[in-house]
Amino acid sequence: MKAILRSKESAVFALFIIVFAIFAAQSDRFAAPDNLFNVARQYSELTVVSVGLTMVIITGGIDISVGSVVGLSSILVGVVAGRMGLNIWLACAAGLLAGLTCGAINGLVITKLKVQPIVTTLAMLSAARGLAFVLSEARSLSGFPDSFVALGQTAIGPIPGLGYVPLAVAAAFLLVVFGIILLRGTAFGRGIYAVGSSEEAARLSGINVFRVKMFAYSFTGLLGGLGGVMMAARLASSIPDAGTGFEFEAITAVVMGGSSLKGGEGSIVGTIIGVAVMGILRNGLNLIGVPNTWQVLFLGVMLILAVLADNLRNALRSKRELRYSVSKASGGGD
Amino acid sequence: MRVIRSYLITLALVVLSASVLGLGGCTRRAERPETTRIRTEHPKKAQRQIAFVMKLVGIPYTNACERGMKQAAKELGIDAVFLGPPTGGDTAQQIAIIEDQISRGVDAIIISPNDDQAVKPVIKRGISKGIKVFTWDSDAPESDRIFYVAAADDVGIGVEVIDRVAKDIGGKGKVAVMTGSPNALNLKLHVDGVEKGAKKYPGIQLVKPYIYNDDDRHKATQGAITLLQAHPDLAAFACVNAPGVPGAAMALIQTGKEDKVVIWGLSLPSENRDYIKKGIVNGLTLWDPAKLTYVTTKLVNDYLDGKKPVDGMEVPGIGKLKVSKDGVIIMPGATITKENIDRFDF
Repeated sequence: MKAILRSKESAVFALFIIVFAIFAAQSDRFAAPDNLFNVARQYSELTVVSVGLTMVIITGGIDISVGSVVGLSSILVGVVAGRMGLNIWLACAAGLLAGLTCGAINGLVITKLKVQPIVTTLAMLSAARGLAFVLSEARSLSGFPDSFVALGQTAIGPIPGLGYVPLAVAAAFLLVVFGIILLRGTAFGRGIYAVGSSEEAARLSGINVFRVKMFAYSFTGLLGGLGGVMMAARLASSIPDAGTGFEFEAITAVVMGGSSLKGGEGSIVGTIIGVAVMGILRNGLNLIGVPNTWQVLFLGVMLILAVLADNLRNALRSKRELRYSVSKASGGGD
Repeated sequence: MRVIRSYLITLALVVLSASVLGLGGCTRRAERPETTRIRTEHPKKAQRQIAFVMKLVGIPYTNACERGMKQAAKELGIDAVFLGPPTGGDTAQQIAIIEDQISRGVDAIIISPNDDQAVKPVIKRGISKGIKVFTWDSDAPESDRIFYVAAADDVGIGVEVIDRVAKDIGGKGKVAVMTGSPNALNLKLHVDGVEKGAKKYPGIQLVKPYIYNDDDRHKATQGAITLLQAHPDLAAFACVNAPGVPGAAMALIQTGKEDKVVIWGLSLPSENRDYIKKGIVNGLTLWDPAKLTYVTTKLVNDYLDGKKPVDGMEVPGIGKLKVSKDGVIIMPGATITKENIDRFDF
């Protein structure tokens, strides 16, 4: 019981339950499977991107370029398939490759040139968005084959107990599972935590810090690319400003989910619940007719509260650990 | 024990954040969502519900739209909400808002799309769920929308500008045409209208080349000054994009020709209030976003009642509507002068 209460995900899960219950009580449409899948689909791209960002944040870094990478990838799909008229799958590959490239550049600059992650990815935020606008001439592009557009609208199933699940949601789910296994179930995943806890200690214990960081940023870039492809399919058009604000929403989700911005701790489960909280919050506020301008404010308040809760938890824990170490008791902290 | 205390503090913060949502009163129901009563039968809707989804919200233009909607909704006794992305006209966010309104099961959704292609799938989905979907302010012509209420006829508003100019200069003289760029479709159509209208006045000569101000007020002023030097006998400016009118006004002030040259154009009242009051700018032709949305609300409500819009129908206080076969409804434009400028606050 204590272990559950102590887990960092418990707070965000409690928040999820509360927000869910409030909206279920306020709107009879809210808890309908139709609506929940609708939210899940709207947030499938953010979910995918957040999986990568969680890993970056666990290594003690940050990537604020994710939204711009989504936009660049989305535009590449439009340019290659729509304007140049090439095969749509080639276009998707171009989007993914662009994402991977952006991520790899971030990783290289951070590890080799030792530029701070926030500065590096701020530059990428601007560069990738700029390139998206240049390539698209600041216009949205469309003209995709019907099969691709259908992919963004399609649902698979029926899956017992769930009914028809949107394909984008299924894809995001698979990625989440992959991320959890990678982080929790492999030595490489534990290396990610080790790098975030103490880079020096990780290096001394034989972990290839360069490889870990390169993977985290490149993978996040690749997922940004995937997010762009998914968004192009869902919206049936490539939009240069696709993914605007993703960095904010993804970081909020990761922090709400219990990851520490100092690195070394966090989990994808927590992040996904964080994404879910934001998703149902937006949807619920829309359903009960709260003006959209207020929603920005709510999200900001959420982020601040999440950070405050995290700080409070850390402060309490370090006090406890101190007391334990003074009394020479063993087993303090985790 | 301490673990539990830290947990409780966290939970307290969480509850606080929930109450910040303004729904604090409901948190006591929060034990378990499974047990929350999910009403299977929808309570009979007391009111008709419609939702407007704008490109973005929170700017004077869209606030005026919202006001028009509210007025109509009040008169009709229906529940209408005005939504849209709060920042930057984000297409994905706008679509999420539309999807949420489909989930909400409103009777009608009226959209001003950020992207006419990206809204196609969501409009289709709404229609397939039995929701009536319309566009206003901006169209998605290839979508399944039922009808589109346009603020003004792009060509017609150009004709209106030159008609007003002709009246104020007595039907003869040199007229400079100022626009933004040669490529933008709506501006091209406005200029077409100016040219078409000018044919009615043999005494009017349109000065070539036209001034392209790249939607930049400073460039508009520079271009206007240059033109005034080349044509000291210029009678009027006909401007078809928003920075053109105040740009030309500034040029007249700098060259001391405030009383000698007429200015008419399409622009925002808020950018020209002083110039109009001082008589430097004779007037603006444009649409009133409040009236546009007011009329749209009424037309949508009529449609839900089974009354389709017909060509030439008279809307009290507005004028005659033009209805074309492809479902485009065009409102008559508004003319703003010294006398009525204070009624327009966008």
